[in-house]
Amino acid sequence: MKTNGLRVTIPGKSRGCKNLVLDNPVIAASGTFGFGREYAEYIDLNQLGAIAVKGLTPAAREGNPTPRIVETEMGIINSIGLQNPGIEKFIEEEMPFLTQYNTKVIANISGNSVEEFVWMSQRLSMEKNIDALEVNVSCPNIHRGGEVFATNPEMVELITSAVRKATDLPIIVKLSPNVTDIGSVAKRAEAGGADAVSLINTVLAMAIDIRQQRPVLKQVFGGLSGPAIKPIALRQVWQVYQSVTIPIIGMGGIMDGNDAIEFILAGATAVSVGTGNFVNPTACVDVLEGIKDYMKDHHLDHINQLVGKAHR
Amino acid sequence: MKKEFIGEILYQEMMYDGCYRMVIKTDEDLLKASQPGQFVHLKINQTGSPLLRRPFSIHRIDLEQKTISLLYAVVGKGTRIMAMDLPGKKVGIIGPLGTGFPLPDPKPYHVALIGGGLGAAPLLFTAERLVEKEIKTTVILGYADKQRSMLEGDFKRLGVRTYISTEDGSIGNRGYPTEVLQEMILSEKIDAVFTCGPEIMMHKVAVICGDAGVKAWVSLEEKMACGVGACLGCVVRIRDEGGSHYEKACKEGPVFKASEVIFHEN
Repeated sequence: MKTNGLRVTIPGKSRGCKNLVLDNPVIAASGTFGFGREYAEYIDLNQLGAIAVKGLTPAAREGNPTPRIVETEMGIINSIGLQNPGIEKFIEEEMPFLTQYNTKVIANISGNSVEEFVWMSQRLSMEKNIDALEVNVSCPNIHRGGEVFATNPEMVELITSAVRKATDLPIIVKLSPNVTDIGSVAKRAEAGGADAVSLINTVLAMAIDIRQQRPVLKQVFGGLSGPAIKPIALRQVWQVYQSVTIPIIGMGGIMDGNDAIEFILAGATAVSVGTGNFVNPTACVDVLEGIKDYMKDHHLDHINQLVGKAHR
Repeated sequence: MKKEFIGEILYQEMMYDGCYRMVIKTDEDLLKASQPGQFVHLKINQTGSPLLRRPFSIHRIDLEQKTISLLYAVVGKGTRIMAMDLPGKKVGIIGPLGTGFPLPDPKPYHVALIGGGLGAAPLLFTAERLVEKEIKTTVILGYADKQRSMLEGDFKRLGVRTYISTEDGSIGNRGYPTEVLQEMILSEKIDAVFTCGPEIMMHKVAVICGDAGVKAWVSLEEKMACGVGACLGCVVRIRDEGGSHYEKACKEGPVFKASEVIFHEN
């Protein structure tokens, strides 16, 4: 392996926009890693390519009532409800902590309207230590009866282009798997000016308590994550790779280096580890070590040599 | 840097049908750091199934034998696997995690421990530490019936005054441990109450102690994924000046001040 054999670059496509350069392709997935504090007790955060922080909203949100989480076969369904301190408190209280590390910071933003996405993008762009925005379009649009943005390709393009105008940070659009044709949604994100797409978000799901004869989660539905969704995620990364030219950040049930390699072969430039962190606080580092082992075993100079290689 | 400890199951003891005590030999660092009321997050299998770790309150720490004991009942997939585990099996342990019971320092002090069913588990470790600090300790345990009653001998061996209640009166007093507490709190000086068990019982303890002006702490149970404060799955409602807010059972808890907890309504 070459010295920089793990470095991956997501080029800023638009004029004057920054590149996102990661020392390695492993990212801690938004919503599974808080703001890094909890896991800093178990791993050196400098070892990560990036941290995608807990999803942020303009104001603080206290989240959904419990039960918020249930384990199912090889997966977890969650309905946390975007509990977060809001943008200002994040900048004031969490950014100083994250800034101690060299690891790139990806701010994940969730809005209920185009205006909210724009405002958050502008506000976060004023912070010099934020390296990219991840736009979570899997939120309900309050102006359209709660329709989820991600399921409407036009809205995805509209939000992306509005965020594009509001920031010169690299934009990653996080796609929902709960659509008929994820490739066409990805194309719209690309057309709107996204520098990358990340996928997949969680799969809409539910569980029922047969003793109490009612849904387990208070909110009835939640998002399924973990190894149970890996085959779906891989298939969708594959489809998106055939639909767009911008880099893909692949995720969905990655537990070890071999899982990550599968995603890279399917077309992912980088990978995110989510639910794996809940099982092993050292999961991100374990995945990175597994990737290195694979590269060594296969005499690879650079991780880029593997991206999309299974398409043949 | 914190890490996962590896433990080896030494043996298991059946408390009653479907309830076991697992004794695990493990690292001294884990044992020495453990405080009463804290928990460990156990990886039962290396096969990846069940996916998540399982949280267990610390039932006993034996620094001489270098063991930690966990008390559990078979309620689902994870505990079903545990019940079949043989000595020698390796398990992964993260911990100790969370915030436990506040052990008092002043000596003329009387602590009452109220346990319901499996909720008695962390109280044994707590009683041990209270006795070490020469703090007067009373334990009041409640069970469904004689068949499911346990730990009386363990507490008595510590020299702790022990009361047992069962719902059907098949052993000890007939009724609930809260009734014993209710009487005791009026007749003698109790400085603090620690409780763990069914929520309905802990709620009752909170009310009794609130009325009597006695400080009380409860150990709550919530569905949990990460155990370290990241997933925000295990939140509980805590009263504050402006109303209430969520706190994490895995980090700020599982032990909370009884007066601040907003219990579920059902």
